[in-house]
Amino acid sequence: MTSDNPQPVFNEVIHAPIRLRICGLLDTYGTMRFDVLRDTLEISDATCSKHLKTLAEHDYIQLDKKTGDGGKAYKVTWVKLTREGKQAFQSHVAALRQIVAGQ
Amino acid sequence: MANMQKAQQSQQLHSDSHTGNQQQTVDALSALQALDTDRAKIASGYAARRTSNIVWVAIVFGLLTFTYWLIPQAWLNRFNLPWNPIWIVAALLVMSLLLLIAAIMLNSRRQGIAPQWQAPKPAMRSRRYKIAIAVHFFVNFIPPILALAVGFATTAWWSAVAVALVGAVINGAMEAWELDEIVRALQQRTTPESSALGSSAEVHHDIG
Repeated sequence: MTSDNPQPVFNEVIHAPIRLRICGLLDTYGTMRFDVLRDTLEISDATCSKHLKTLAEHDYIQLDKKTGDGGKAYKVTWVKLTREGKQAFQSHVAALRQIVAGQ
Repeated sequence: MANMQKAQQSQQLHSDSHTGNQQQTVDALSALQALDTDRAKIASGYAARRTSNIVWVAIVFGLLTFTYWLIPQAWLNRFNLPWNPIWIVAALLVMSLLLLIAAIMLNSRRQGIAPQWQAPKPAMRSRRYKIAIAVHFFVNFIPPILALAVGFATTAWWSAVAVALVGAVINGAMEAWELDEIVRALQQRTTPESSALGSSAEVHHDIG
């Protein structure tokens, strides 16, 4: 369960700027399409894939490949923050706040 | 001499750790600011879709209110139809529901996110948004009650148009308020003020 007052824990995996922003967007939006995530962050396909792979390896996100609209041949990737990911992200943000506040 | 060297080393260590801490604070600050910037981007997306969302909601709830006006007409069979007029009511209800689902699906497709029944998390935490939702919930009962009462009282076509308009305007206005609160919540700066950077600035003054 995620809480409103998470324990501050600095997370090296999430701290990388792009990964932090990916988690931030997913935490706000829930589930997002790969292309929208990439366009919002203004990064390339490869960079986005690389960071998503890293997050997925740590079980912080879940990647779902679904068939495109109307049963088209291409697959659309949906990205979702897992419960562990949510918890880790919120704890990391709490740790960042703590650092900024100088505690 | 040895004492001086020791003092210099300890000063150097202190300075290094201070620079390290300062760098860490700057990193953390810029990371939090990046998150705020992304949320502001999401907010601008909501602001861009504001008009179309309001129009959709007004159409759906206008239709729903008209359906409520039709219920007494169907119940009392005032149009003398050869078939049960409750079917019109059922058809309109289904149509309203389908329109609502279509609006949600189209919106989420346009945004590239999964269909959402709730506003984004920062909005759900906002007190102002919660107030808007609560007011919407209570105001929501006005158009159906009005439509049922008017429907019982008259069969005039203009009364149907009037109640549908009341439903559309009330719900459209409430949707506008909710969207404004969502945008406001997403645009809110969440990065705390850095006391660590403030104190380091004072230290720098000493150098001069």
